[in-house]
Amino acid sequence: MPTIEFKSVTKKFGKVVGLENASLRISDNEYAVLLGPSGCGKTTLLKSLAGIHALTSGRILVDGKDVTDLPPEERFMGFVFQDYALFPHMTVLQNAMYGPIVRGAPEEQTRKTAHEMLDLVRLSARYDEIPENLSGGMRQRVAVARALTTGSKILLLDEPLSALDAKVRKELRSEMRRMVKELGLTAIHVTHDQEEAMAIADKIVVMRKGGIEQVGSPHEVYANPQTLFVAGFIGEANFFEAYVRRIGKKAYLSTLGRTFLVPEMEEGPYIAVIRPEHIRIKPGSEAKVVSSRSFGAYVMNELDIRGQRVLVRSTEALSGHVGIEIDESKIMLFETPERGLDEALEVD
Amino acid sequence: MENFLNRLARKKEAVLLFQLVVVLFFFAFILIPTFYIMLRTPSFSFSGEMQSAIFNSFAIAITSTLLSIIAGVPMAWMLERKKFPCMRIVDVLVDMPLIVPTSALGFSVAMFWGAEGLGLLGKGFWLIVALHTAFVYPYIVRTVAAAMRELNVNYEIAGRSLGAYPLTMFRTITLPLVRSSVIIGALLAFTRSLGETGATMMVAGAFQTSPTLVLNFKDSGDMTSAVGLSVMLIIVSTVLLALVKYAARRSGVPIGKIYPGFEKYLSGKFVVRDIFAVGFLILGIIIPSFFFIKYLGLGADFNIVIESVIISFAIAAAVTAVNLLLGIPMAIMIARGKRFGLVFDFLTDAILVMPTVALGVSLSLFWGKVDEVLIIALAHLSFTYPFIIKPVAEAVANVDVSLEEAARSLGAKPIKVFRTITLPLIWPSIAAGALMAFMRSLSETGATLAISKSVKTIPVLIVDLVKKDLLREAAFACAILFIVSFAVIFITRRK
Repeated sequence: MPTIEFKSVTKKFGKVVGLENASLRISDNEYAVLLGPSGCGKTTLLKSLAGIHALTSGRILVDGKDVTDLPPEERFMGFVFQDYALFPHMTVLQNAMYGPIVRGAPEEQTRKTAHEMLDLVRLSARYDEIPENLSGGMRQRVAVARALTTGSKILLLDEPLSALDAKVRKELRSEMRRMVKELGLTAIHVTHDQEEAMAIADKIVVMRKGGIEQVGSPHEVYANPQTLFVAGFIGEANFFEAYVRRIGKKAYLSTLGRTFLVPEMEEGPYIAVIRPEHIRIKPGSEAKVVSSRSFGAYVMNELDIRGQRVLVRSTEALSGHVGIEIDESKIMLFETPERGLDEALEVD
Repeated sequence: MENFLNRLARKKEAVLLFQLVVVLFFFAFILIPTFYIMLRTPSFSFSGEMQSAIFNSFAIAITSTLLSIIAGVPMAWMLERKKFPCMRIVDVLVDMPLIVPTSALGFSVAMFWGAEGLGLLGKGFWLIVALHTAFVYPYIVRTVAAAMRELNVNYEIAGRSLGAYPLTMFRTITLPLVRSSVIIGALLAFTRSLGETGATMMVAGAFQTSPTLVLNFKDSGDMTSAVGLSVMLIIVSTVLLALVKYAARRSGVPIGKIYPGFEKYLSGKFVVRDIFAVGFLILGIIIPSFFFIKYLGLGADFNIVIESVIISFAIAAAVTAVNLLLGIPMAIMIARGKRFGLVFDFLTDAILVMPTVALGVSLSLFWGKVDEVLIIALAHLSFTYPFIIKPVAEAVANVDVSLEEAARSLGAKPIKVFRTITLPLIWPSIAAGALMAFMRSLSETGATLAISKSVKTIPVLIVDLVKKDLLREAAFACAILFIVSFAVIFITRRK
């Protein structure tokens, strides 16, 4: 039943800012994913929850209890590493038993729990091997079992799938989500892979430069990004310069050489964001096809419209010249960023 | 030159010839003279005197190695895992006993603990232990610290977050994983203690260890006994090396018993442990090592010292140069050769752990009538050889072969690849190895004492001066050795 609360946490490594004034609440039995480019502070946030990093300021509450000053061994959280960190001098079973044993739990009972957990990750047959003999995916499953044998209800996963092959990665991620739901755990999973985040998360926390950009369900962060960065980081998107002009009570948006009627808005420059699937291909000659690549289920095209590059999704491969039609209800408008569009989208 | 080398490098025969020279050098000048003594079948009786000397040597080596482990492992942990700003100073301090030559160390330690200083320890067993602990301590700290640096920190973090208190985690995770390095460090420490001669003589009094007894035999003309005891020492250290190498490679340690309450209590005592580790370093190692400074002063007769300084530096420089020239190719062969690598590796290790006094006896017998300075130089050549080979071979083994392949595919000839890719990458190790060899030659006592009749290097002179109670001159000689050593280290460390 754990709920986790970060209250304006800040972490500085000397002069480098790892986290700045970040606040976040994660509910019981939620699978939360911290998503962002490297150096955004997502791992720092996870490690400060585990007690590996001491915070510079701010508090962390678990079920309302302040855990900010507890050492890692007293926080009762399972931590899973990108490089597995299975103890190389112990067998699979000894690894899984380590947590309860060092806390003084009776050996027989622990052995039973460890076998159950290895069963859960489908590795009970290989309990007597040393980690070196297992594949990457298997090692990570042992690491998950090891974290769960302690009986902790919070599972922290630090890029757990990044070192694995694409195929194994997809299998394991759905397996992990299933386990977390079955055992009623609260999980926080760090990744830089937005596809992975969309596939497993109940809640995605998009981070950038030590701060939290947006929190929401996978659908929310995709369909309603709150910032240009989120719009650019999650999924593909086109960014166009746009201008809104008011005539009487009506507002008109002009971009890409066309004008749309939009709801009440202030006059001025904007950035219009349009997803590739919200642009339709129609007969015409306005756009020149630069490239056309098939991804199997769909085709991604790069078009040239008056010197502007435009990404458009289609079902068939294109060539020559085509016309386009924009679904105006799906245009997202953002204020022009002070330090330019490139800076706003930059992933460091 | 370039073209000549290029052409040469392409000739298979030339390469082969060069390798032959290198290997022959290893056998003719290093290995055979070193172990020559073992080819002579000594007829000697194993006297009670020898028995007790060997027993003493082992007791001292075990005690000082254990003391160094107890104080050195926490120190290694602090150096690698604590990020205090003052840790850099501690880091430098740990190496100090390696920089102070052992004979200077012997003089200094004797003065500190003896009647001139604290008056706590008289000449004999415990004073020798205090001395040996001072110079084996860095070996333990360095090897363990290096192993801990290599260790993936995530193992430790995983242990902690699974609920282990720091001490439990250290005992069940860190220690088993750095175990082989602790063993190797302990072996180095143990054999160094077993073989140390010059400084031990100064603090031993009537007490006899094996090396001092070898020297005694030699000085009194009893070559049979000197050779016999030397052979014993060589065999013992070589067998120990083989055993330890085997033991270090085996793995698998059970978690053992866990005492959550007790270990939680002790984990809270970090401050006590840190104070102990730093206190031991300062009171047990650093201050005794530098106590000779007290005797520095004017009015000493410097002329006798100057001559020794010149001899010592000339020998050290020449020996280092020759070893670099022939040691680097050997190191490359060890690292890249598939067949004999392990054998050569073991042989160089055997030289490293061997008591130098036994080496001195062996070489003076082997070379017989050759000029004294030359024999000393040849002896130094033998025991400094591993100092170049070991780090360079390791560095070569660590060079990513694909880098060299990339250079080849970009059109570089083998010799060019070596000069532009391999050499720059292994350069730091070559410099470090040369430095170690130079310092070792400069400060070696045992072998030099065993050979020297009229030629005196600085360390031998120090032993001499202390015997004659010329403490000011001795302190002056110590200071010269130390200042030079420190300057060399300082320059090479700065980069």
